[in-house]
Amino acid sequence: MSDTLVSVEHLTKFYGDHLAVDGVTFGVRTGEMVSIVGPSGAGKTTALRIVAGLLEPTSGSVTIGGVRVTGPPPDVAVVFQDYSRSLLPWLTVLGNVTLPLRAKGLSRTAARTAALDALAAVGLDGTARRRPRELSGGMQQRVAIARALAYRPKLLVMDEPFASVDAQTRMDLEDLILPLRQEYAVTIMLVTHDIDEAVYLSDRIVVLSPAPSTVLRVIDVDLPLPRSQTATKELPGFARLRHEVLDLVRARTD
Amino acid sequence: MSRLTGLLWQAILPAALIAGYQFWAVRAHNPYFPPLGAIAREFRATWLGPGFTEHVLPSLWNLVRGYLIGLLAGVAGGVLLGRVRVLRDLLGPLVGFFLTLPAVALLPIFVIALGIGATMQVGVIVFSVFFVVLVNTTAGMRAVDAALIDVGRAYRIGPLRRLFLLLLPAAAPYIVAAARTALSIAVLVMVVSEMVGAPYGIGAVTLLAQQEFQYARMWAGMVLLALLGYSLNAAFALVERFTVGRWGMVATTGEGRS
Amino acid sequence: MIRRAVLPALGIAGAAGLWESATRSGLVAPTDVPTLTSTVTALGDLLGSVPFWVAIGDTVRSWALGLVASAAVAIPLGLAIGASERAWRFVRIPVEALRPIPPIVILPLALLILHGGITFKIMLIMQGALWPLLIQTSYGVRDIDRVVLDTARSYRLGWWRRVVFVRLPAALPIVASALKLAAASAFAVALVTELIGGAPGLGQLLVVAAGGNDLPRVYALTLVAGLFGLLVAAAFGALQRRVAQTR
Ligand SMILES: Nc1ncnc2c1ncn2[C@@H]1O[C@H](COP(=O)(O)OP(=O)(O)OP(=O)(O)O)[C@@H](O)[C@H]1O
Ligand SMILES: [Mg+2]
Repeated sequence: MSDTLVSVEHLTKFYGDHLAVDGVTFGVRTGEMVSIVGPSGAGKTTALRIVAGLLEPTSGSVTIGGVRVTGPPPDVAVVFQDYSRSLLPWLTVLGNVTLPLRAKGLSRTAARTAALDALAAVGLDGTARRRPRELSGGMQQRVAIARALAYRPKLLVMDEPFASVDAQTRMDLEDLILPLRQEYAVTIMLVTHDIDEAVYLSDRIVVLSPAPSTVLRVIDVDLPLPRSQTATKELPGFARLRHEVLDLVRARTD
Repeated sequence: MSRLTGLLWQAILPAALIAGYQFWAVRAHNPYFPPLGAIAREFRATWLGPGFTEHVLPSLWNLVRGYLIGLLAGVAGGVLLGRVRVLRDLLGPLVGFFLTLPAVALLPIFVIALGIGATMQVGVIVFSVFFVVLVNTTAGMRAVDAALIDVGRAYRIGPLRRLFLLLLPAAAPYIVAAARTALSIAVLVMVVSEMVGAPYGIGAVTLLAQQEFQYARMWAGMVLLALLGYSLNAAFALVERFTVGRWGMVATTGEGRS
Repeated sequence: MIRRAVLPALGIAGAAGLWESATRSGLVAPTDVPTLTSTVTALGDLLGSVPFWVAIGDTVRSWALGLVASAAVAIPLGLAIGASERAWRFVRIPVEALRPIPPIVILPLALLILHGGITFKIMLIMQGALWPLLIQTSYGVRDIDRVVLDTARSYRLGWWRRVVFVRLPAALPIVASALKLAAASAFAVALVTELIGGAPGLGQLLVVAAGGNDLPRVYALTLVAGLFGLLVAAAFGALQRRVAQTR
């Protein structure tokens, strides 16, 4: 379990002369779920877009599986924060999920099978022929997750994937992700500013400072698996970790 | 209001207008304003007999050709301008000039260069359609949501799929709105181009009828053109409903011209 | 920054160079397209001639009057129609049926009755500009946020105040963009009345020049038409931006 899949080294990003990310270094091991938390504007999205190859760093580097990232790598899938903008309204749910697979070279039937499997895995059987806007927000976000899973990535990168759904749906989606990790054997990097969510889902948490962001601390989450919204969140360990992260995030924003 | 009374309420004014015209025209014996029966008879005689293949079809054929060529070229050019900034900067002022130059003003130039005939007519129609579609497609390409561009890049969608499944549909509200505007402009330009000496076509027959004091025929021409304008517009509303409407997108009102 | 200024200039210069060299080299027959230089000379002659300015005056006057007349009828009517669902339904069918009719349709009839004078031009311009303005205004007025309207009612603003202070301002951006389109199409229709209907103005000069096979003059006049179009678009674009800002 200890081999490193992603290593982010001395990442620095200037927007013009505004320094957003200042020498961020951390790693993600294969099979791990790592959360990146930090106050709003800390540079979380920036760091994540660089990892996904959507943005060039000013200096520093990202390597995934030993290969340096220079553009969107083939085995990385991204779930964007704004589900309503990241689904293609003119395609059906199925079309949205199959599009990346077809682009990857899968045959029509193979893409279809993989897509239907992924949709079933996120609990969306029977919606394949609908259009995104006919679904609720939570369902749309699950389509985006299915699209990412069907892609069979080594690394799944998610930018505040549950930020724009209601609290109940959010918990449902969190609990959806946990078992899928095993099922799809995927390493996950999750950006969030919800500390409970980070503690609940992660194996490790990278806490960033306000911009220009640096890594304040990397915290190991030693809570037992499998996790549960009720039992896990009542553990003393959960409260302690939550407290620790909160203090870090708070101390620098005040 | 119930559905039926609602419909009745809507029908009052058009019915009154038509009945009022008929009532007045029958009595007034004004040669300029023939009664509806005379117009209908002349309509049948002029447009539905041999006139259909002689005048209506050629007009429509020119319209369809010119419109489609202009539309396709405009979309293609718009994609190019939308993607390549240098081209956009380089051609910006020229495109702006041709966008605001009314296509009808180019008739003399087209007549001089191409003579009177179908080539000239199609040429002016192409021109009138091209720039509206070009400018709005460019704007549409520029307005594609950055989130969608990210999706395309992150999932490594290839150039063809990216263009046809991602960029063009995303720009569709602009393109469809422009195509609709362009269609009504194209009808106008088609008719005008037939009024500068063409020997055949709906516009030619209609203007000639007026010059030859055939007022019922002139009215038949006006009615046909009105029907044409109306039904093309209605057909387009359907296109809009089944594309951008179904995707929950709204057609924009972009840059116009005439 | 530099690119923003240099490239457009380069584009214009390139097009001019292309025009001049294509016509000079004989690539394009001089009987088809005049050289740029002869066109510029013709333009210079035009700018110094009285009939040209008279024609410009004719075109601009009919364009402006036609546009103002359209707006004067369409905007108040659009406000009234838009403010009442019943009124809108009552006029819906004729309005939607008359709108897509190209103004050219009534040209033969209008020519017959009005003999190609300025009233004739204004009538045709109105057929082109009035309906879109009317429909857009009424859409703008009806599209208003329910909450704003309910607020106005709860403060017991009367019908008149609601229309003038609540509905009209809310509709202004749409009206401004419709006006921009109307201004452009009014200009095109004005040219049509002159080209086909023989009304005095820029279009008539074009017909005469084309008839006399005076190519440089034809091109110079077309250039003038394009520049006027640009001017109109710029002016109404500025108006539109202003309206959008004050919101
Ligand atoms: N395209 C850009 N151009 C200029 N500055 C930017 C750009 N994107 C982000 N920034 C700036 O960089 C900093 C980090 O932004 P980023 O979006 O990465 O933060 P974040 O941690 O994701 O914030 P949030 O929690 O609000 O999503 C912010 O100060 C932001 O203003
Ligand atoms: Mg962010």
